[in-house]
Order: sequence, then structure tokens, then C-alpha cells
Amino acid sequence: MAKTIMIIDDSASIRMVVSIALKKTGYEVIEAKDGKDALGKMTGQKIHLILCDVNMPNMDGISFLKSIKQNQNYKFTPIIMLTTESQEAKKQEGKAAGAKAWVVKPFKPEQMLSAIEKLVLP
Amino acid sequence: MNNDKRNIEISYDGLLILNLPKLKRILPLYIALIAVTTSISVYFFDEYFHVLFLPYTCMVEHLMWVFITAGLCLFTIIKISATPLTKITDREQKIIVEFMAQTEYQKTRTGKLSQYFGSQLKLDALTRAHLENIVSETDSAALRIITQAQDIDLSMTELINVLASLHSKSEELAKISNMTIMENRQTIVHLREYVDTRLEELENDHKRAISLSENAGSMIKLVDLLRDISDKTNLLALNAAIEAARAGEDGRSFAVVAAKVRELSIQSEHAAAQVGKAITGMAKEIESQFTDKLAKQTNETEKELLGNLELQLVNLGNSYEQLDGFNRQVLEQVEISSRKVAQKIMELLANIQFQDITRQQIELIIRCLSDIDIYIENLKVYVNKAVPCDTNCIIPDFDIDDICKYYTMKKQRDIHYEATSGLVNRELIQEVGKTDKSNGDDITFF
Repeated sequence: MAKTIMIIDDSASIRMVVSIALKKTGYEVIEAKDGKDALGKMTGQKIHLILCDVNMPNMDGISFLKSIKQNQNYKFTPIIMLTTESQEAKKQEGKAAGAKAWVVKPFKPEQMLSAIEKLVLP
Repeated sequence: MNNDKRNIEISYDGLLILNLPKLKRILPLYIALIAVTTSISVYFFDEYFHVLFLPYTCMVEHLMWVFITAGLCLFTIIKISATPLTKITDREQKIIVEFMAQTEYQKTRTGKLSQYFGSQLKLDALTRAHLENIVSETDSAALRIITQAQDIDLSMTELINVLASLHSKSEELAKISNMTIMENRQTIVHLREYVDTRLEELENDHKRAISLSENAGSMIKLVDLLRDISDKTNLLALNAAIEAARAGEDGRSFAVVAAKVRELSIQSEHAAAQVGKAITGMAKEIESQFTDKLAKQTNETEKELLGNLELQLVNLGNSYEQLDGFNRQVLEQVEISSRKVAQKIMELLANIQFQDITRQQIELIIRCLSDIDIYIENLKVYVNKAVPCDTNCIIPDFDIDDICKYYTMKKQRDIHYEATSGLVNRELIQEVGKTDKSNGDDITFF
């Protein structure tokens, strides 16, 4: 059975690019445009990994990260931050909030896929 | 500037200035004081003044007393709240100067400045609208490119699958073809063996026919011998008949025998002639029957034809192998190219991330424009405000480094540093730079 990955990004083009790369590799994909939208789409189904942008409207990536760590169903779901933000302070903020990896845009799809393979839940 | 200075040089002698805020504060108190004073005056002095001076009507009297009292109070108020210009503070003097400086030129300049601020705000709004339009259009274009690239990718995937299927079928065909070629080669070997055997048999037949012909020739000699014997027998019978005739009656029976022997001799000669003729005919017939088959040239032609057939079959096999080889090469090349195209499509899709990065950079400019607008709005207010620009009035300068709080990319910080180098707080930029060693395209695992 294919594993499910959620991509959260306010940019439709980024969502599409990531989605295509993931689907070609055999993953199922759920798309959300911000943290709030993502929380609305997490209805108890198994999600093996989450890719999340940092700077988003409504609910930013760090707030979403903090929120998801309070959710019993998804607290152990690995989260990779996918962002243009490259400041060390921000990275540490993400780490403290529970992110497993920090990928700086623009990224190469194969690098992103390699990071996913390392962290995705069995 | 000199004109401006001349315009604001004024004399303060004999001028009073009302402290309006002070006046506003004490005015209710003085109104109350006027009312009380008037009432007391009317109450205590009304009759005395009435008797002493004028027999006015009550209303006029009262008004007179009100005016007198109000005049006195007004004088007191002015005395308390107004100050001679010569005695005003520096700040108040600056206010006067500020008022007096509202010359025609200054008004024109202020007007122009306000107009510029207005234009700048409009220009900013226009720039923002254009930038937002660019973001929107590039976003749509990026989505269209992604959709088209995805379509191409799907087609390429389909093509790769078809090619893989064709490759598989081609492999099967190649196997079958190889088997056919092998079988053809074996058939050719068998055919060659058969041809060789047949040629050998023909050679043997040839030898046997020659031997038979030779044997027939030797039989002709036997026929000649028989004929010779027959001739000699005939001559003997003739001599016997002569001798029988000489013997007379005694030799009559012998003469009959001699005649019969002679007759047999003639028949024998005749039979020998017929046998010789038959043998000669048979030998000629054998030679005639084998002439074509025994001809060396015919055998060589057959051999050549078989050789040609073999060559053609070999060529056919080789051509098929070559064709199969080319077919495989084409399939492999197309497959490699298809995979390259698929890879390029993924790279193209990855490059579309730059649209998102550009969008964020444009959004940063829009935010900066909004900040500048707020600053301009403040400037506009203070330019038109008729108060001196002291500490309460001076708005803080626009801090270009304040934009740093919007930056999310190392590149943005680098550009800021490069563009503002020498003009701004380098320490701040460097401090920010210290924590940002990223070159992009990197992954950090926690």
C-alpha cells in the first residue's frame, strides 16, 4: 500500500511540483495551502510524513508544528520544513518545535526524496 | 533661502500674544467670576447708582453693569493669559517664526511637497498593483508550465513503457530469429551434404555408365568372334559339301549334314549380326541417357546454384541480425533519450521553484512600499502641520535596516548588504550574516 505524504505550502506551484515528484516515486499526496487548511484535512487517516513551508498566511509552519505535536494521532509523524528561510535561528526554532529536517528552497527533487526516504514512517 | 530669511524677520515690540491653551483653561472660571461679580454689583450698588446717576430702565442698568464688569474681567484675563512678544520663550518665538514663515514661496514649496507625497503614494499604489499583477500572472504561468510539463512527462512515461514493451517483444523476436537462422544454417549444411552426396553418386553413375559402355564395346568383339566362327563354320561346311560330293552316294548324308551346318552357320552369322547391332544400340542408348547427367558443367551449375542458395540464406540471416541490431540500437537510444527528457522535465519542474522565490522577493518589495507609504503619510501630515518641528514633531527617519526583519533568504540579506554598504549599520547586517551560512540547496537533519 502506498504511503501518504502531506505537503503544506501557500504556493500552488510548489505544491504541484512536490506532488508530481512524490507521485512519480509512488507516494500518495495530500495538499494543503497553510497550517489551518492542513489541520482541517488531517481527519485521522495515517500520514507517513509531512512537508511544511514556514512562511504562510493564516497559520505559519512553526505554529502548525507546535500544534501537531499536541495531536495524539500525529505527534510522531516526521515533519520536514521546506522553506526559503535559511537563518540558523529559524532552523533552531524549527528543531525546538519538533521538525526532523530543514530543506532550503530551491531544492533538488532527488535530495528531497532522499530526505523523505530517510525519515518516512514504515 | 535669503528671501525666506527676510520674510521671517519680524519686530516683536508692542505685540502681545495670547496663550490660548491657558485662556481655554481659565475661561470657565472667569465666566463664573463675571457672573458672580455682576450679581454682587447689581445687588449692592444698583440703588446707589440709580439715585446718583441715571434713571435708566432696569434692563439697561443691568446691561451696563454687565458690560462694566465684563470689561474689567476681560482686562484681567488678557493681563493674565497674554504675554508681550518681547517676553515670550524661545519656543514661542519659533512658533511665531513658523507662522510668519508661511510665505508664498514656502506655501508653494509645501504644496509641491504635499503634491509629491500624494504622487509618490499613488506611484507606490500603482507599483504595488503592477507587482501584484506580475505575481498573479507568473503564478498562473508557472501552473500552466507545470501542467504542460506534467502532460509531457505522462507522454514520456507512456512512451518509455511502450518502448520497454517493444524491447521485450523485440528480444522475443530476436530469439525466434536466432533460432530460425540456426535452423537455416543447419538446413544449408544438410543441403550441402545432400548436394555433395548427390554429386558423388552422379560421379559413380558416370563411372558405371562408362564401364557399361566399355563392356558393351567388348561384347561387340564377342559378336565379331561369333561372326568369324560362323564364317569359318560356313567355309568348313562348304568344304564338307565339296568333299561329300566327291564321295558320291556315300557322302550324300554327309552332304545333308554339311548343308545343315552351312545353314546354321548362316543363321549364326545373322544372329551374331543382330546381337552386335542390339549391343551397339544399347551402348549408344546408355551413353545417350547419361550424357546430360554426366556432363561436368551441369554438376558445376547445380553446385553453384546450391552455393548461391546457401549464400542467400546466410545473407538473409545476416541482414536480419543487422536489422535486429539496428532495431535494438534505435529502441535503446530512444529509451535513453526518453529517460533524459523525463529527467529534464523533472529539472524543469524543480526550476519552477524560482517562481515562488521570485514571488516572495516581489512580496518583500510590496511590504517595503507599504512601509514607505506609512512614512510618507506621516511626512505629509507634518509638512502641513502648523507647529514647529521640535522633538514632539520630528518623526523618526526611515530606517532602511528595518526591512531586514522581512528577509527570509540569504540572498536578500546579501543584496541588502551590497546595496546599502557604507550607508547603513553594517554591524547589524554582519550580525545577521553570521547566523546565515546557507548557500541554498541544502538539507539539515535534526
